[in-house]
Amino acid sequence: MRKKLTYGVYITVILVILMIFGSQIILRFYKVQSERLIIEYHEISVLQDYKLSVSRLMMQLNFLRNESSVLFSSDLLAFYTDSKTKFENCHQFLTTKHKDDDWIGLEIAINNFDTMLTRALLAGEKISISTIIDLTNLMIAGNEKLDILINETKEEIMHYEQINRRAIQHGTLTSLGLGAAMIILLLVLGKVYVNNLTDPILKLEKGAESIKTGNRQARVNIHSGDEFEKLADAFNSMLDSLEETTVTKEYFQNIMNSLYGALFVLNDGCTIRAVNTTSIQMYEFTEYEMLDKPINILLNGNDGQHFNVDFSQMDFQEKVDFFNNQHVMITKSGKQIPVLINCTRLKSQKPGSNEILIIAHDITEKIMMEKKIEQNRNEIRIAINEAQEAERLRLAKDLHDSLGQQLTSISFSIQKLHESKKYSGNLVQSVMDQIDASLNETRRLSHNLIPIVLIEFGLITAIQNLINNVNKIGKTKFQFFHYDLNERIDNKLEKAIYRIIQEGINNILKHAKAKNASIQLLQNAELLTVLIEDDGVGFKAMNRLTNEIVQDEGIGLLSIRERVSIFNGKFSIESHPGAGTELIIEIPYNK
Amino acid sequence: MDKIRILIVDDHEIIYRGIKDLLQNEVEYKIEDYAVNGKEAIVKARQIIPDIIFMDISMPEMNGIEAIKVLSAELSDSKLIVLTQHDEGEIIFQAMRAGAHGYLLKNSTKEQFIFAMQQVLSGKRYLNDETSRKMIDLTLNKFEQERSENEIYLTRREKEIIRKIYEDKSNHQIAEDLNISLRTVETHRRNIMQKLKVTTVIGLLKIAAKLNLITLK
Repeated sequence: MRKKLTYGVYITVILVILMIFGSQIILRFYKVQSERLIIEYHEISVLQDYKLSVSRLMMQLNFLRNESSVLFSSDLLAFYTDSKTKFENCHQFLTTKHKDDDWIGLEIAINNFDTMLTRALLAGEKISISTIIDLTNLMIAGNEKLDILINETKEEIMHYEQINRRAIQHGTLTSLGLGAAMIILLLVLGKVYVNNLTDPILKLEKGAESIKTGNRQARVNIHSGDEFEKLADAFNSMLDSLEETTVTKEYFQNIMNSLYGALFVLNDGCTIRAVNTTSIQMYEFTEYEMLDKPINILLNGNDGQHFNVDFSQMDFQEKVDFFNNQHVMITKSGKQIPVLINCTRLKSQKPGSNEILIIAHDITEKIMMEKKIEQNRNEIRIAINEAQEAERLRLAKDLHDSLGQQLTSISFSIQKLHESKKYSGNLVQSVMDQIDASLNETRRLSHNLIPIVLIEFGLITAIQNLINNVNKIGKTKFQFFHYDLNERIDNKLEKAIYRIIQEGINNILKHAKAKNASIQLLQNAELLTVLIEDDGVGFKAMNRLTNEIVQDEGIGLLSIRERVSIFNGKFSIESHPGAGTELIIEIPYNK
Repeated sequence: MDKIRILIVDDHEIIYRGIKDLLQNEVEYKIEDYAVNGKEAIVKARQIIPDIIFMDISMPEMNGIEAIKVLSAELSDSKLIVLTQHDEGEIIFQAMRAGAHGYLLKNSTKEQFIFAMQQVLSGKRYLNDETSRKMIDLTLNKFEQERSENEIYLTRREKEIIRKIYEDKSNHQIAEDLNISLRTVETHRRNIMQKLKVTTVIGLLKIAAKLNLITLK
């Protein structure tokens, strides 16, 4: 391509130089012709000058002859001198071309005239008539010759003029012809040249056009061996890779619209720029109603309120992080849809534009399934717990009933034995004491397994009983308060809360080194709240920012957490080293 | 002289046989019948109207305390003695409140059995040293508890929060000031309102001023 262009420039320059040369040659030719003409004009001019002078001399001679009066050779001499000078001029100017017979004849005539006149002048003042006639004759002869010469010169002038005219004609024709030929040549060559140059561009353009209309198979064939071929090859290989990696716009639109997820393109300010059909179906807004609106119109905050996120305060990554999460979105009719959002930067053609691509997946069903699974799991856990409690109850009953009653019955028999006085009183007393101890142990074991007070009298009495017992043994003073609590609640929940409080108390006794502790039970329309507070040493409970539970929570708190989660409750710990501990348990329970 | 007629209520036959065995030689006592739960006890007691009923506490169908409540109201001539393994103060308290005349542990001696029966028949109540001590402790505790229940108990944390509310702090600010989570503040606030039986912050502050938690300027 570059080479071709350079060749084109060279050829044009050469053609221009040729033109200049041609015109120079034509000019030179003209110049020679016109110089000739000038010389001829000069010749004719001196010749005619001379003829005038000769005529004058002739007239003088004639006058002399006619008057036949006194002749003064000096008068004649003046005319002759003038004529002689003119002749010398002619001699000087006339080209050798004319110096032929006629010129020689003239010269002879002039020389004779000269000799004759000189002789006449030497002979005396007066010139004889005969001499004058002779002189006149000589002059006539010379004049004849002169006329011939003038005619010759005139003819030459005519000749040259003719040549000149023809030369002008030819020159014009030649230059016109040459110019025309050059124009035609340039047109033809230029056309071919331009075609040659633009052909690959046209081919590329055609290729691009046909790609645009969807013909992804279109390729460009250029074998020019220059940059264009390279460009075409690059174009083709680009198409090959495009073919492999991308799809047509229509195809893409199709994919976009058949996406299961709702798609949004947001600009930097989180304004909706594009949506897909799923978005329209999912959120019940029309495309027009969503475009150019802030994404906030679709975000749901708590309690059906719109979530007014101030995106202007976030940098790009914060926005992406915000979206890349589980959200609740809200439809036009106010329906709340839990979604999982995938968010990425949209690679845009516009440099520096930070567009965000969001795909929101409806996870209602997933959440429902999870809830179901969670519910099932909780039911199973309750059942396991129940089974555990039942097993404990059975064990306690076994201990209490069979072992306890049998020991009691043995104790009765021993008493009878004691009465019969058959055996040593001391021995029987010792056996009775051992049976007593065994019975006490049985009672303790049975009580630890299942709090009989809880079963018989309910939560408040059982916890009060528990606290009375621990206050007797521990250094911590426990207080128990309850507010608006029903006398009896669901017995599974009763057991759970009893165990939770038991764990809480155990933890305080084991770790807190507290002076005072309080346990509060509150019930309102939908929640049962347990608050366990102490003024002990506390611990680092939770990273509030990440909401991560500190690892070494201990088996006691874990078992509380487990029990709370079974009843879909919430458990939180507020504790700081040296600042006591608060356990807050909230369990949904309808009064 | 009529024999003293006894009804034994226990879901374990072995106890019935044990007591029968124990009192075999005591001619003035006659074990009339035996019931395995509270319901059966009520039915049988109504028929035979015994002088003394030995009643266990934990039983299927109807427990001893429920049965005592019914029988003590209905049969004023029958004396009710709890015979059980449970020695928790709360159970002793509940049984005596329900109308029991005596409380006997199953590991009691024959002498204690006979003494208890004599006491209740003479119109007195019977508790041994241990059970009476537990009963007194519990009663005192309950008294303490009732007194403190009449006072409104607010924990240290709750008092702090009331003060912050008085300082017109938002929940967010309170959480920040006390270094606790927002949710904890919300829970406490709700509980405080419930405990003080108020619905507005003004009501809350009025009571707080009354309790000298805050000083109204």
